[in-house]
Formats: sequence, C-alpha cells, structure tokens
Amino acid sequence: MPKKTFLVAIITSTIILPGCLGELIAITCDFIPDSDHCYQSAAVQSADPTGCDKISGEGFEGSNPPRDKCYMQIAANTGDLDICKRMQGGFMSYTPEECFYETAVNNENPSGCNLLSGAQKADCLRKVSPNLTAEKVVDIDEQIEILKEELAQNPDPDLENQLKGLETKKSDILDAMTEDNRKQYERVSDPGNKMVLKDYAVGDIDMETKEQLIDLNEKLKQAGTTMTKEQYESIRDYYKFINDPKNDIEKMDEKELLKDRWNEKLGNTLDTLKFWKSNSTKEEAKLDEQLRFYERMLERQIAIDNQMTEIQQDTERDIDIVSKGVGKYAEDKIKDFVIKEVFGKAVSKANSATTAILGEALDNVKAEAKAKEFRGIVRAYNLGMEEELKKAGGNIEKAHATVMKKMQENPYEYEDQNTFAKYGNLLENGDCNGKNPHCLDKEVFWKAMKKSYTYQSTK
Amino acid sequence: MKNSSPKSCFLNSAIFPLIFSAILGITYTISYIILKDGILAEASSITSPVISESFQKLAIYGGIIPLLDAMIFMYILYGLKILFRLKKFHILNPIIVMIVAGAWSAFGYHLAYREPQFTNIAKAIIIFTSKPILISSATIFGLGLIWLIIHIIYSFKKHA
Repeated sequence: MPKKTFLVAIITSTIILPGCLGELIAITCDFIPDSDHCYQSAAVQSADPTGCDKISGEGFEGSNPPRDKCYMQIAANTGDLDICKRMQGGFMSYTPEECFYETAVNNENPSGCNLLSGAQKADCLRKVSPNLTAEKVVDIDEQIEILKEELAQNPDPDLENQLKGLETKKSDILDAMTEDNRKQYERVSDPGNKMVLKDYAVGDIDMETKEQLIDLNEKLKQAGTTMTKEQYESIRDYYKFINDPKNDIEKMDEKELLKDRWNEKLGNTLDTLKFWKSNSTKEEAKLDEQLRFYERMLERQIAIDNQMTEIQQDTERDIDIVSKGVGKYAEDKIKDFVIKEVFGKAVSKANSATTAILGEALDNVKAEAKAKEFRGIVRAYNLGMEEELKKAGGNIEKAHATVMKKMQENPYEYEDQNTFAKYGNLLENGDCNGKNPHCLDKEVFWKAMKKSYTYQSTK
Repeated sequence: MKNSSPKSCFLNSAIFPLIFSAILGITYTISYIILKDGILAEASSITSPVISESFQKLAIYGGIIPLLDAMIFMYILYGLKILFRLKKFHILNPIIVMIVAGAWSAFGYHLAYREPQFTNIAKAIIIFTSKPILISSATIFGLGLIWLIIHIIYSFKKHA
C-alpha cells in the first residue's frame, strides 16, 4: 500500500470524528491496488459480513478464498455460526465445517461442534468441554430469566427467537460439559446456594463462610428440607461473626495490646512517685508485658462471648424449621440437626466459657499480675520455649505445642534453680469456676503466651 | 493625548489554534514516550511483523495527525466565528478548543476502550496510538476549560 496514499487517506478519514476503524479502513480501499485484502480487513474489523461481499476473489476460479476467509474470521470473532453458512467453499478455499470448528473452539460454544460430525466433532468437543464452567450456564440462566420477564410484558418474535437460541445453547452446554462441571452447576444453581453466592459476589461474606453455608444447604437438601430466607440470613450472620478475624483473639494486634490506657498511664505515673516501692527489674517488666497480653486477650474474649451469646440466642429463635408436612418428629430432628451443624462447628472456634468464669480469670490476673506466681509461670514458659526451639529448629508452633504439653503434665518441667514461687497450682487447678483462689483460663493463657513470645522474639 | 486601547490577551488572537495544536502534538509525543514500554509489551499480540515494525518506527510521529486535524478544525470554527461577526466574543475561543479537543478525546476513548481488535492493522492503531491520543486531547480539553473559567472570572470582576 503506497505510504503517501495511506497517509492522506488516514488524515482525511480522521476528519470524520468519531469513526469506527473498519469504516475508516474501507474508505482507503478504493485507492489501493490490492483492494480484496483491504475490504477483507475492513469487513472483519467492522464485523460486517456484507462487507465481505465486495471481495471479488480476483485470480481464483470456482471459489473465492479471500471472501470465505472473511466470513470465517467474522464468525470466529463474533461467535455467530450463521455467518459460516454464507461460505461458498470449493477448491483451494475454506469450508463451512472449518468455520464451525474455528467458531466453536474460539467462543467455547458446543453448538458449533454439534454441526460437525465424526472425528472433527469429537475433537471439537474435546477442546471445548473443559472450558464449559458452571458460571457460564448460570449467566445463560440469568439471561433466560430476563428474556422471559420481558416477553411476559411485551411479546416480541425477535425476543422469542433469542430465547429459543439461549435455551438451545444451554442444552448443548449441559450435554457437552464434563461431569465435575455439571455437578458444580447443579450445586450453584440451587436456590439456597444462589443466595449464598450472591452474598459472596458482593463481598458480604468471605470464602470460609460461603463454603460453610453451601455445605449446610447441601446437608439440609439431603435431609429433605431447605432454609427460608429469614433462616438463611440469621445463620449467615452467625457464621459471619464467628469467621470474622476480629473475633479471633489470636489475631489481635500486638502493639494495641501493649498500649497503656489513660487510667493505666495515670496509675504508672502515681506508682513512680511512691519512692518506697521498688520498681520492676528489666526481667520482671518483660514478664509483665507477656501477662499484659493475657489480660487484654481475656478482656476481648469476654466481649466476643457476650456478643456471640446474643447472636446465638437470636439464631436459635429464628431457626424454626418447617419440614414441609413431614411431621412433628421430623421437625425436631431437623431442628436439632441444624443447631448441631451451625453451633457445633462454631463453638469449637471460640471459647465456650461463660462470662462469669472469664471475668474471674480476668480479676485474678489484674489483681495479681505482678505477683510471683504469674510471673513464675510465664518465666517457666519462656525457659521452655528457649529449650524447645533449639530442638524444633526454630519452629515456634512446634516448640509451643511441646512446652504446653509438658508444662500441663509437670509445671516445673523447665524450672531452673531460681524459682520465683510455687506456681504449679495455677496449672494443676481446674479452669476458673468460682472456686479456685488462683485460677487461669488455660485456653486464652496459652494463646497469649505464644503470641507474646513471638512478639518479643521478633521485636 | 493618545487613547490607548485596552490590551487583549494574545491568546484571543488568531494564534490560539496554532498554540493549542502544538501542545496537542507535543503532549502526544511525551505520552507515547512515557507509555512506550507498555505499548511494546502489548504489541506482541500483533501477528504481522511488517505492521508491527512499521508502527514501532512511525508511531512516535503519530501526533502530527491530530495536530493538523485539530488545527484545521479550530481554524474552521474560528473562521465561522468571524464570519458571523462574533469576533469580540472572546469566550468562544476556549469553547472552540474544548469542542475540537472533546471530539478527539471521544475518538481516543472509543479507540482505547470500545473498538474491537479483530485485525492486525486495527490492533496496531489501537495499541500504538489510542492512549497517547486520549491523554493529549484530554490535556488540551482541560487547558481549554481552565482558560474558560479564567475568562468567566475575569469578566465578572471587570463588570463588577
């Protein structure tokens, strides 16, 4: 294509703004010798099959390969299989079957494969079927719903044809899908699961909550019942609360845990004025810092448990499963099943102690945080971690698990000569239950020790 | 005593289409240079080596086309303004700039985000020129808008 003519044509064509590139290219075709390829480019870019009709096929007899290629490229780009039927085919040219194959594979449309036969069809389906995902069928379902709603209000023959086309496409996809993808589709197209996926798509719930809700829904289906919208919302909110990282005391921010509150700052200032009291040594201050972790995590656990108790009560009230006429016995069985499924799993994630018991643990550590017993047990833990970390090759999780186990069996396992005090009863006694003068909430304590040790060793 | 006529801003003379077109061309070139790495990475999708190499050599000069086109159109509109005896309405000058820049911005946006890339020539035009056209024309549009706002504020102050 001569450069000058091309340049002039482009400048001229850009005066007409805004133009489509295909039309701009078509304008230049009359000025250049090889107009067939120019018209082909213009038609393909515009996705306009009538533009292919201008291709004369000069130099070919009995067939028109540039025109056939034009139709084939437009069909492959747009996914419109009907364009392939315009092809003439013939000697040295492309065939409609090649067009169906290209279009089907490029657009992952098994309807194109169904227009073929024999080995070509099998090959086409083999390439297309792994890409036929459940989401594609769900999209088509949504389009079908929209069309049906529209047709109910405004009957229109074009829309009816579109609807038929979509239903055929859906049927072809379901036939050609792999087994796994088909099962996935059955899973996601369930009305109960649709609610879950919608909430997940808008970011209302995370992946873990989504999987738990879908799992619950599947089990309810097998038990012969489904959740109502209100039940679903209640259970969703419960799972969401439980899975929220903010409600996991192990994920609390270390710097926030160690910040003094205003009353503590005041207390610290007053303490420094009491000259008759000796200040903590560096070693004691380090142990107190670890105990601060325990204290703050206990406080947060109380708050979480309070809120969880409220939500749990609300959810139990909202679960009023109707077994759809199966009978009172079945109703109770299903209700128990749901409660076990929902609360059974959720409770294992959070501390199940009541507020009163945790409160007692908190009072203990606040009153005696600087007492020898508490400092002693933290010191023993640190000694144990130093020893076990060497054996575990620096793996804090592994070392922590070993220390926790050994100290539960023998609280003085790691003790050296310089014991602070007899702290064994803190571990030997049961959890705080209103009867122990010195009690420890073991679950929160061990979590706090691991967190604080990790923090101090990386400081 | 001589009465000196109030000085008019030089931009309100017939020079403004030249100035704004020049800025358009320069901004196009600067944008192309800044975006070049990304453009060349995207250009690997062009399967015709002839088209790809031609555009790699010539695309940096592509600013000439919008420059000339914008200048021609701005002068056409300026000429119409004089023809209809609206010469003293200087507020129309930034509007002329915004009309032409707006049209090129629309074209640049269409190329960058709407036009499909079905052929190699289309891919090349879109990949190499669409974003520089969009950025440079949007810049001129913005400058025209600032000029218009300054003009309006100045007019209010003058008549206040």
